[in-house]
This record gives sequence, C-alpha cells and structure tokens, in this order.
Amino acid sequence: MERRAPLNLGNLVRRVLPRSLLGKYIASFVAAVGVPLIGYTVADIWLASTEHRNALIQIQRANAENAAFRISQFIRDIEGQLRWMTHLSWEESDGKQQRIDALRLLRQVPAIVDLALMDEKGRERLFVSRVSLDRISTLADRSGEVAFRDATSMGVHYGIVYFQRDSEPFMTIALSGARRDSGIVMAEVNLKLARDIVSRIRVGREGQAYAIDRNGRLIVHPDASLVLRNTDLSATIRSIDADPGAALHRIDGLTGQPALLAQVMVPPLDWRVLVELPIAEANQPLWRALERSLAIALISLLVAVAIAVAFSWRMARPIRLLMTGAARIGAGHLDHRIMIDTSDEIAQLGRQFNTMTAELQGSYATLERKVAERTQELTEASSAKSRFLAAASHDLRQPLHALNLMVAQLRAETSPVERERLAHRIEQAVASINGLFDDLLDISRIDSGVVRAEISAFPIQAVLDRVETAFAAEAQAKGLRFSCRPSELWVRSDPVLLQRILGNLVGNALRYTRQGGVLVLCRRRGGTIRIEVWDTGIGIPQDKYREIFSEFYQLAPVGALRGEGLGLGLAIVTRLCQLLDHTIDVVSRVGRGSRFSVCVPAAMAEAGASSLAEAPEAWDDPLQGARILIVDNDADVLQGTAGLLGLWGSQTVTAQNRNQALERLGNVAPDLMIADVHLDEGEDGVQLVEALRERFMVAFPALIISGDVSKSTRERILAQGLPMLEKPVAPARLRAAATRLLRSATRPQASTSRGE
Amino acid sequence: MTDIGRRQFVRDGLVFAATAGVSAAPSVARDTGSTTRIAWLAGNAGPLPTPAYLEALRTGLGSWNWVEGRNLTIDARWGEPASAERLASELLALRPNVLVAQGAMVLGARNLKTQIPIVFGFSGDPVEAKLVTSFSRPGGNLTGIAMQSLDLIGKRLELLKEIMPSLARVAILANPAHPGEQLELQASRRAAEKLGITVSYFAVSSARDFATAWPALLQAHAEAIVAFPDALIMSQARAIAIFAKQNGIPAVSGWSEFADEGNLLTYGPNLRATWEQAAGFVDRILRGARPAELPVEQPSSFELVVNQRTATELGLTLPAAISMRTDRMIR
Repeated sequence: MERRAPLNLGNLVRRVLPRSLLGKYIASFVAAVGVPLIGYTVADIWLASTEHRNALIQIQRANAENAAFRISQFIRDIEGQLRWMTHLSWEESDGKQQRIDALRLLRQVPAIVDLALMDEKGRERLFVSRVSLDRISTLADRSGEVAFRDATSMGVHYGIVYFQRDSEPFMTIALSGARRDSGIVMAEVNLKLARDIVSRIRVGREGQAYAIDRNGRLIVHPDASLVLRNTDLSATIRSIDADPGAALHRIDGLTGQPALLAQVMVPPLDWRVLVELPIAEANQPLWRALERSLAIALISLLVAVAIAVAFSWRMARPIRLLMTGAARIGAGHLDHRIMIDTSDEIAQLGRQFNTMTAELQGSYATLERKVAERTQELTEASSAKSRFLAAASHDLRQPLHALNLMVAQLRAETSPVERERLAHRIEQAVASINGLFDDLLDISRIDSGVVRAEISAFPIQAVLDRVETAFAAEAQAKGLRFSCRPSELWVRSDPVLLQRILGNLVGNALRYTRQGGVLVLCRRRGGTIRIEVWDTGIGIPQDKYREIFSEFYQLAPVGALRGEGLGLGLAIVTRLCQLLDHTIDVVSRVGRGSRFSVCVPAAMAEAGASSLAEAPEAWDDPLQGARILIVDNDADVLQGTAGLLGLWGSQTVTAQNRNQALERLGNVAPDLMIADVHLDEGEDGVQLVEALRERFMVAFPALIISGDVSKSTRERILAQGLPMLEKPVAPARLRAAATRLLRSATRPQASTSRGE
Repeated sequence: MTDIGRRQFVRDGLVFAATAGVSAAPSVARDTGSTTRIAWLAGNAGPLPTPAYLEALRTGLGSWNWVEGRNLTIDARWGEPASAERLASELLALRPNVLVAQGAMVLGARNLKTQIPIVFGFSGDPVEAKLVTSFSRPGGNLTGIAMQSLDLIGKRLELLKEIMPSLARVAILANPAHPGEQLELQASRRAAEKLGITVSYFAVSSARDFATAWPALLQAHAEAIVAFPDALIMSQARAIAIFAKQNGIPAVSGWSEFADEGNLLTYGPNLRATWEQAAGFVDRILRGARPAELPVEQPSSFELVVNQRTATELGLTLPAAISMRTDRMIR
C-alpha cells in the first residue's frame, strides 16, 4: 500500500496539473509567488506571535511589579509613619505627648483604624481609635500577643489579614522602636484603602491587578466589592504554584474567563500581586496581525494570480496563434499567415513559419506546374502512342492484306513467269513486315534499356564502308547516286549502334529521294566529328523539324512512299543518339533536299588495325558444313529454320524436346545450338543448353530464339551468357547471329564458353 | 470569550476596511439615555439636607459618565417615612432601572417586593432591618451602604467627655422606629459605663414628641445630649441646637449637618461622600451587575465636625486632642 502511494500521488498531481500551456504558465507563476508568500506569511505570523508573547510577558511582569511596588510602598509608608511613634521612651512619661502624636498619625494615615503603644514589657500604654474608645495607660498585659512577640524578636510584625464582619480586610502591623525602652507600636490597617493604589494600574483594556494573601484570599482589588465578597483564590494559587517556572499562567482569572496571569511577591509581606489579562484581549493584537498578514497575503496572492493570468495569456497567446496557424497551414491553407504582434523569439518563430509557408507555397506551385506539365506530356505521349499503334497496325494490315491476295493469286496462277513475279512480290511484302517488326522491336529494346552502348574508339571509315555496302544496291536499283566520302577520322562511339544510326539516315534519305543522290561525309568540328547525310529529296518543312524527331511522332509517309515502311527510322535514330549522347540535327528546304548531321566525339587514332578493320578478312562463311542443333516445340518453326540453315549449307539436327535432341545428336556435340525457351512438358531451352553442354563436355555456342520478351526471361538468359533473338527473326539476322557465334567459337581468343 | 474577540475583530476589521466613523459608545444603556431612569426616594425635604445628598449622588454618577438630562432621567420623591410605601410604588410605576432610597425610606420600597434593584444608604443595620442577608452577599435586589457604626456612639460620648471632663449625665435622643435603635442604645450604655457617665433615654417618634422631651430632659439634669442620627433627628437639628444653646446643654450626633445647624459636634461618616460612593452601586447595576452580588459597603472614614461658635457660646474650650482630631471646624 505504502509503496504504491507515491505512484498514486504522482497520478494525482498529473491529474490535477493543468494540461494546457496557459494553465501551466499560470500554475508556475502562482507557485513561484505563492509558495514564498505563504512561507513569508507563516514565518511573519510565527515571529509576530513570539514577539507579541514576549512583549506581553514583559508588560505583564512590569505591571505586576509596579503593583507590588505600590502595595509594598503603601505598607512601608505606614511603617515609616509608625516608626515615628517609637521615638519616645515610656520612662517618666504620662503619655499625653504620645496621644497627640498618635492622633496626628491617625489624621495623616487614613488606613490606620486604631493604634496601640506598649512599653517593652508589653503593657498597653496608649490606645487611640477612630471607632473604639481611646485608652490611656491601662497597662493591660498584651505581651502574649503574636504581634508583640514578633515585633520584639524580629523588629516588625505583619499580621494575617482578617475581615471585619467577614467583609472588610484588616491587618495588624507592629514595630519595635530603635530603643528598647520605646516599646512597641501596633496598628490596625484597613486594607480597603489600598484599593486606590491598584485601581490606578491599568492592565490593557479589561485586565486588572490585585493582591491576595498567603491563603489565597483576595485583599486588594480595584473592585472593592470583590474583596468584600470574600473572594477565595486558593485554587488559582494552587495552579500557579503547580508550575512555578512559567512566566505567564494560563488559567481562569477572577472574571471566570481564561486569562494570562503573572505574579510577583510583595516584598515585606507574604502576599502576591497577580496581574490578569483576559486571553482574548491578550491575543487580540496577535489575531489582528494574523488577520492583516492573511489579508495582505491573500491580496498579494490575488494580485499574483491576476498578473500570472495576464502574463501567461500574453505568453501563451502567441504560442496558441502559432499552433492554430500551423494547424491551418498543415490543413493545406498555404495562404495563411501567422500574425504575432510581439517582438520576441516567438514572433521570430512566427515570421520563420511564414517564410517557410511562403516557400512551401512556392514549391507547391512549382510542383503542381510540373505535375501539370508532366501530365500534359504523358497525355501527349499516350495519344502519340495510340496514334502510332493505330498507324502501325494499319501499316501491318496493308502488306498482310496484299500477302493474302498474292498467296491466293499464286495458288490460281499457272504461268511460271507470273508465279515467279508473285513469289517475288510476296517476298517483298514479307520483308516489309519483317522490317516493320525489326523497327518496332528496336524501339522497344531501346526504351526498355536492353540495348547497351559499348563505347570504344574506332575509325569511322569502317562504319562508312558497311553503310555503303548495305545501301549501294538499293541506290542503284532506284537510279540514285550514293557515295560515302572516305575519312581518316576516328570516333568514340558504339560502332554497331552508330552504323544503325547512319543506316537509318541513309535509308530514309534514299526512300524520300526520287532523283539526284545521297552523300555521306565527315567533318571535324573541334572535339567532335560531324557525320552528315545529304540528300536531294522532298525536304522537310521547317515547322516539322522538331516533330520528326519527337517520340512516336512521324511525318506521315507521303503518298507514293506508302508501304515502304512506317518511317520509324528517325525515332530509332533519336533514341540511339540519346543513348550514345550524340546530337542530331537537320537542315532542310522543301523540294530541294535535307541534311541530317550527327555529332560524335572525336578519338585519337590508335596504332595497329582495329578488329573492325580486320572484319572483311573473316568473310569466309562458317555456316558451310556446320552441324547445328535446332530445338523448338513448334514443328513449323523447326522445319522452316532447318530449311533456311540447310539452304545456307549447314547440316541440321532438329528436335522438339530433350530426348529427341539426345537421340538425334548421337555422340557428337553440335557446332551450334538454336533453341526456343519454352518447350513442351515444362522443358526449358536455356536449361537444355546447359544440360547438353555438360553431356558433351563441350561449351558449344548456343542461340536462344524466343517470343517471350518479358524482362525476367531476358535476364535469365543474359545470366547464362547466352545471346538471344526475339521472334520473329528475319533470315538475315538469324544468319548474322549464327555466323558470328560460329566464328567466335572457332577463334580461340574469343570464346563464349564460361565453363572452361 | 473567543466570540467577543471575534466580534471585536470584525468591528476592527470593519473600521479598518471602511474607515467609517463608528461612534465610540462605551455602553448601550448610556446611548439610549431616555430609557435609563433612576428613582430617588428620600425623607422629607426641608431642614433635612436630602437634596444635598441627591446632589452628591448626581456628582457621583457624573464621575461615571451618567449625566441627568443627557443619558439619565432622575425621578425624585420626598416624604414622611409613613408615606414611603406610597411614594415608592409611585416611583416603581415609572419603571426605573434603579431605585435609590435614602435612610429609612428604603423600608417602604423593600415592602413592595419589587424586582427592581434598590440601592440604599441606610443609617441602621441592614442585616437587622432584613434588607440584606449579609454584608458580603446581600442575596436580594437590595444593596448599598450601611452608615451605622455602633462603636461611633461610644466615640461621640468619649469626645463629649474630652471636651467636658466633668460630664456625668447624658440624655439620649432617639427615634425608636429607627431600625437598630436598640442596639445603639445598648452600645451607648456600655460606653457610658466605661466613661463613668449615666445616660437617660428620651424617645422621639415625631417632631411633636420634642415638645414633651425637652422638659423631661431638663428635669433629668442632663449635661449633654447625644442624638442618634436619623432623618427625624436631622429634621429637628436646628430646634435641638436652639434648645441646647438656651439651656447650655451641648448636643452631639453622627452627621455633619447636625453641627452645621448649630450643634456642638458630629462624628460619623461624611454623608455626601457616602452618597457619591452610592453612585458607584448605581453605575454597576446599570452596567449589569446583580445587587445580590454587590457586598454592602461601610464608610471607611469618619469625620469629626466641630462647631467652634457653638462651643464658644456654650463657654466650652476645645482641648488639643479634639483639635487634633477635628476634620472640619465650623467658625
């Protein structure tokens, strides 16, 4: 239980403590002011009460001493007067002089009721009284009286206080003279007259001083009636004597109220003076001080709370403004600004908030604009793609349609000459379709990042030679002049891709040129080589310059040129130039011709001949007599491919699956294997290549031909280090690939085998 | 007590807060002066100087801040002792806060058995007269001052003897209706015996009785007269003085007015001072004290008043012992 108490207390504190910043500020302020204030007030009250008590003790004691002194003085005065009566000797005295003296004394001291003079033997010589009959020289023996004995032996006697008619207090005082023979003087003193002495002593407002005798009987009091009433204070005496050390006694006083009493003994007598002050009155200044302190503390606390509230509001308001402002901004109101009219850190924070919001607003606007632009671009690209697909499908349908018609015509035609012509036209249509697919696939490959540039330095002449070789026949067939001006310059690029760029440009130029010719030349321009393709074709309007290079946007093929391709060449060129980081531009005049130029980084000529320069020397055909394994689950593809390779002089082994391949190969490994990826019954061409290589312990070259152009398949094939062609494969490509693979296999330094 | 303290507190607080002038009124009774009534019942006016006693009472009340006309109303009645009861009932019908009765008039008021506090200045013994049960605790609604002192009877005889050393026969004039008269008589006889004097007693119940008293007194060869002080004697003080001078018989009594009227001497309490003292009782009762709790007081000082002229007329010389004791000498 007790162990959990602090935890509960903590919870309590947490529950009670204000949660808002304003509340916390107020609580802190109030605590900072209130705690010292309350501490001060408590200390002040404690000190005040202590001081008050001490002062009270002092005053009470002083009052008591004053009263005691006065009463003592009253008695001593009487004593002094009486002593005069002891000057005369009783020898040879008739007592007349003494009587006169005694009467004078009675006049002077009203308190003395009667007076007796005795000689040293205790015989009464004189008695004078205010009330009783006087006696002269009765010589009555009074030596037995206590007063006489005391006065004789001790010089002075103070009798016990007695009360006449049980009401008025009296006391006997007896003195012996300086001379033995002057005898004793004895007086009865009415103590009621001492009242005037103490009644002059003021003790506060309701306090009083009074004297009591040794028995606790009240003798002297400002209120005579209390004395006359035989007030007995022996109980008070007992409780005072029970605690003799205390300076003040807290007991019920004469009036019956609790009072503070101080006592002082009256020197010559056995009396004590009590000074009584009602506790209510004694504590009144204390209560007043307490009240005042509490009032001041309360007012101070209220002022502190008011100030705390005001300050806290001033402090918390800007923070609240910040908070609500931040919330508004967070909710998207970027045009909101936080207005704090102070000049402190919070105001700075507010300004920084505003600055931040403004920047956020700016960048948000920029972002929106970019998004809008990008969306616009994407929309345009999408529509361009749609247009392109529409055009592509249309242009694919055209040759297919023609192909259908021509095949039907071929079946019906009986004339060999006409059949030959139809077969030629069918070949042209198929070539057109193949070309179209090649272009589409090229674009797809470039876009999907499959094509990678392999940059190297090489003489530009090697590329030019191949371009010239490739297009010389076509140019001649169209009756156009075509030439490549020889160049000694070296460039830094990918020779294959650059050849493709130039091929496309030249092909385009030839296609759009009806008369005149096409010229390719190279110029050096600083650190770059500019390869220019000139033609005398139809030209391009200046407002179409941009469009002919833009993605998927092609200058529509002009009437007669229809069917000669989709004009995807420039799109491929643009992409390849971007890939190689070459720039391309065009200058053209409609009807006069165009000039396309590609800028390629120049390179230093290297010593010795390059591999490309040597390329022509390897033109002997490796396909001749090569033993090639073809694996495909499609029987038609299998037969077509085998037929083509057979035409090119190769020896073919066909198989639709693994078992057939093993069975038909026998114990001899093939020189080349051409395989589809997906075979029947879950077999896989790539795995089969690997299996056969292990079977024959020879890393023979292999080529994968697949219609699956998914990235995963492509990556798996690349991971095996296998080259790949995508269906449909043009015979020329198949031949080129097969030739390259066979040639690399025969060259020991360019082995494709990984396993060795 | 704490309550009073709090109330005081609140009042101080109010004064502190509002600083409004609260009239410093010491007592509620004094504020509503019109309702504070004192009734004064005294023996017949005339030669008896009771108006002077009333004046003394007024002076005494003034010292306690009770002022007639301002916060106090005093209704006064004078009359014969026989009419005391009637006059007292008249006064009590006025519903006074305190009734002050002079001398024997208190007996008439006492007989009405009222609850209204009564303060007396009684020349007899109040216990004997059944006014109070004891000096220290009166017990009823009466209290006051007992002016009688039996011893003083002897003292007066002694003083007479001092002036007239050959004095042997003294006549006592007394009103037998006065309470304690018999005690006084016994005391005077005892004293006279000690002083070697014989006393003869002459009772006077009314003014008319004096006419018959004088011849008897002369016949008894009285050398001096001792008159017991009461209202009747005081009312005849002048007549006594005339008789005394005519016959060379000095007369003494207790109250100074007796000497003022031409008699030789008086020894007794100062009545004016006593009535001033009685004002203290009135004040305390008005402040709420219960008469039953206020002890009966006795005069603490006595005055010797000597009429020098009368002494001279009577051919008396005053000895030194008398001169020494004399508080007031009428010349």
